[in-house]
Amino acid sequence: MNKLYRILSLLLIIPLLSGCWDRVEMNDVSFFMASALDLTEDGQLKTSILVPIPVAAGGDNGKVSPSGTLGKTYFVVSAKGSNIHDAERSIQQKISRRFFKGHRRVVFIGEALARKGIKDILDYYSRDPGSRLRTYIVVTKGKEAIEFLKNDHPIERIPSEEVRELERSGVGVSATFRDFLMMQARDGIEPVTGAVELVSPTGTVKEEEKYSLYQLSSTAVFKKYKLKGYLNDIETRSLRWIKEEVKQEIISGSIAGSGGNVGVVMNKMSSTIQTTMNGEKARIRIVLKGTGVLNEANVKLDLNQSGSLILIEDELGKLVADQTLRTIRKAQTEWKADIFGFGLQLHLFHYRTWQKIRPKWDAIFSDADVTVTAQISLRRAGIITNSLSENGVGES
Amino acid sequence: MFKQLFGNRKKRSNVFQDKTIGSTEGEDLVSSLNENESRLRAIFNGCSDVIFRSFQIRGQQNAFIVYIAGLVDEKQLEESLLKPLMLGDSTESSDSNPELLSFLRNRLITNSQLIQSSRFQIIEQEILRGSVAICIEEQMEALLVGIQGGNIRSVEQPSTENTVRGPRDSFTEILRTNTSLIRRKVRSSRLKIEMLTIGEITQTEVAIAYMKGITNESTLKEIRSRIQNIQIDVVLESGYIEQLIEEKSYSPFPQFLVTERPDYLVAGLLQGQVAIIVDGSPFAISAPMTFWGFLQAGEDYYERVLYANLIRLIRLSFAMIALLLPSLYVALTTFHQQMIPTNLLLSIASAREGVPFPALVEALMMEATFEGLREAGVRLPKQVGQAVSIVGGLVVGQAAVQAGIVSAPMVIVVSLTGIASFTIPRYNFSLAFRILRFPLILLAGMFGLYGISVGLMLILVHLCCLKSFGVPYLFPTAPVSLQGLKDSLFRAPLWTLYLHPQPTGKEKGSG
Repeated sequence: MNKLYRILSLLLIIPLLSGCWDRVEMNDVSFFMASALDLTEDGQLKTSILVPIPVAAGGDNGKVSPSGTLGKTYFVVSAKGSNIHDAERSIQQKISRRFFKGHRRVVFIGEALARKGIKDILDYYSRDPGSRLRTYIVVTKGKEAIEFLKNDHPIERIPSEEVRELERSGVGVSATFRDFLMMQARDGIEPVTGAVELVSPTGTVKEEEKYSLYQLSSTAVFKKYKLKGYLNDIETRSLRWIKEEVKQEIISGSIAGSGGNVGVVMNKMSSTIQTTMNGEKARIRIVLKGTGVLNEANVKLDLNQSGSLILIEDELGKLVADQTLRTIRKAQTEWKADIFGFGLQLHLFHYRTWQKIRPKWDAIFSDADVTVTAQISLRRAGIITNSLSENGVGES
Repeated sequence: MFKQLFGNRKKRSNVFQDKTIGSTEGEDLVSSLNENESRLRAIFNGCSDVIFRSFQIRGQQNAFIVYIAGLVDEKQLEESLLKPLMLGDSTESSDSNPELLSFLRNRLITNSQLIQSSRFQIIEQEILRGSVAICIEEQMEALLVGIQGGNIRSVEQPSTENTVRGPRDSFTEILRTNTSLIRRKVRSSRLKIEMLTIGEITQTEVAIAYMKGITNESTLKEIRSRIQNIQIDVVLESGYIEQLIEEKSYSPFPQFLVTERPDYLVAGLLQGQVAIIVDGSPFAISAPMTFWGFLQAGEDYYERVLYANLIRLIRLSFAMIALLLPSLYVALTTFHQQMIPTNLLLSIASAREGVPFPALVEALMMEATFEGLREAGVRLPKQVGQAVSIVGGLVVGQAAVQAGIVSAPMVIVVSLTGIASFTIPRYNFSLAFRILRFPLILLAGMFGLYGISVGLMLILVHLCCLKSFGVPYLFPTAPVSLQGLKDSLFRAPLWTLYLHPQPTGKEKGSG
């Protein structure tokens, strides 16, 4: 026992001999909150980072004011380089504080760069141990990515936080580097990411707004690491329904034969995909299912009759099926990119067939025979029965 | 060199060796009253609180009494001793001298505590304990009447261990009162209370209490022999005994329960503990004690089971906070920034902006300040204490944050740690957490979470090695005892706790 104590007390000296090489005080760290990657005109990579400016504590009665002289809560630094590390080296020369990338939430990819290809960038993000694969990857639709970093947001102190929240909220396609790499690695599916736009908050284009909002409604379609095009709002919904990524969604549309339109809050949305090969021809059958509640009904129907609800269900089903079919047609014709994972179904359930047709899948997909049916069932018609009439509430 | 550093400790005796002063060993009373008196006066030479009073027993025999003022109930002395001795009818008294003492004993002196002795040594000791010695002309023996009294503190509410529900009495400085408080709760002859005298000079009475049939006999034997082997001059508090008989003096973890609540001590006795009560101290100690035992309060059993379990859970988590929070904060902010949620990280980074010290220095500084404030709060008089706590807690903290010397999160961490350490019901156990916090902060500042894990590992290894009188300190979790687990981190309903815990594993594991 005595000997043990002697050894232990000798061991106690070791901490004093070694340094603390990993230790870095928070005051000496600059956190990357978001990065933006752009392609310059001379073909170089322009890397921009968003660093929050810590708010200095103290002042009168806990009033806080940002430290530094900028009066802002964040700042953006850019540098050009042949690759990301080259650019980061230049950035580090401009910022004395050590980089810390563990908290990066979003990486914006400029449209031009995305079209050129993001293979090199993905290599960096999956290789660098300081970066996290949980970082969201988004394509900036129509603008340079750095614009998205510099945009002041009315709510968030750090504007890129808003994009992350949008990605998380489930309104559109969300993809992290991990998701992207997994989609890329899988057979029979092409990767997609969210595409963000900067929009005017009130929609008035003429009026000069002081700030813009981020909108996540489109989807960026990649093929061979290159941006091929975008899916719009409705097409994105169809894509997510097929991939069963959507948990809750509002579907509205005019109903033929009812003289009006309806709004339905859908939940329990699911899909069944059946891909079969008939010789060289693929046959894809998609069944979309959804349960919802009729929460808006501007129709001249007696909603007490179950037939009326069935009519609405059928019409909505047709609408959804039509929208979905058009989305698939777009992917088939414009990009020949199987973003829905139909090939994956073959890969999973008909492996031998898949092995045979694998090199030709893009062609087969673009030529595939697709049928979509949508089965929508409505649980309730809200808390009143019929649409408001001139006589009174709920009377027909 | 290391032999010099870690040379074997020599056994030192802290016993006052010179026994020649005032030694009365082996001397007996003589028949001459004057000689006896002068002998006693010589013994108590310079002791101004020793009172000699001469009188005649019913106008016949000369006699005197000796007692120490303040230790004796003087009213009772007059009423029950001096009055019947001096005033009674002289014809009743026996003429023959040899029977005088038995006459006094049987007919006159009504006190229950009475002994007869001829030895100066015993007379001296009894007088020092508060007896009244009566020496009579031509009698070779003195009567020693116990009428202890004087000003003593009455039984009051416990001052350091408060409960919402439970008995309100607490131990006092008088041993007899304390044993009576225990006896009142356990009306069983199986409760044994043995008396010993420790302290060459102070002659302090020490009681060992245990439940026969529940206490492990070998544990009892071990404790008894260790106490008997104590050689010390002075015993002022039960802490002396605790430190002299505990196994690991250099462990931060206490191995004795220290309490001033009789109900808690009795609960321990009924679980097989051996209690040691020291005259002059309101704090009784008892052993063997386990890690989980220190995290329990008496209220755990008085309150209903669900609430008791919730409180135990909260207590354990706050104990962990008291141990780990500052070091975790230091490790996370200086090594593992990626582990803090982003928004929290930004807040902390903002608060730390402009703070001149590294987080490690900041933490050590604030913890030391807090310990200092706590110590000051204990030492200062009550009237000043409040001012110190206000100035220390609010003004200094607020001002330090505003001046940018420390960051606000650190103040929160330190104060939370301080509050958390008060949730540990046993004060001496919380001291262990207070001590261990500092090395953990240092480890965290140097190695981050790795350092904390190594530190915790060392603590765990130490706890696994530690034994309190043969009982593993982590019983019933290590070694596992399913019966014991019913009352460890969680407590099963009372009706399931029908077995006496056997923490020593019957007789085999002791020693």
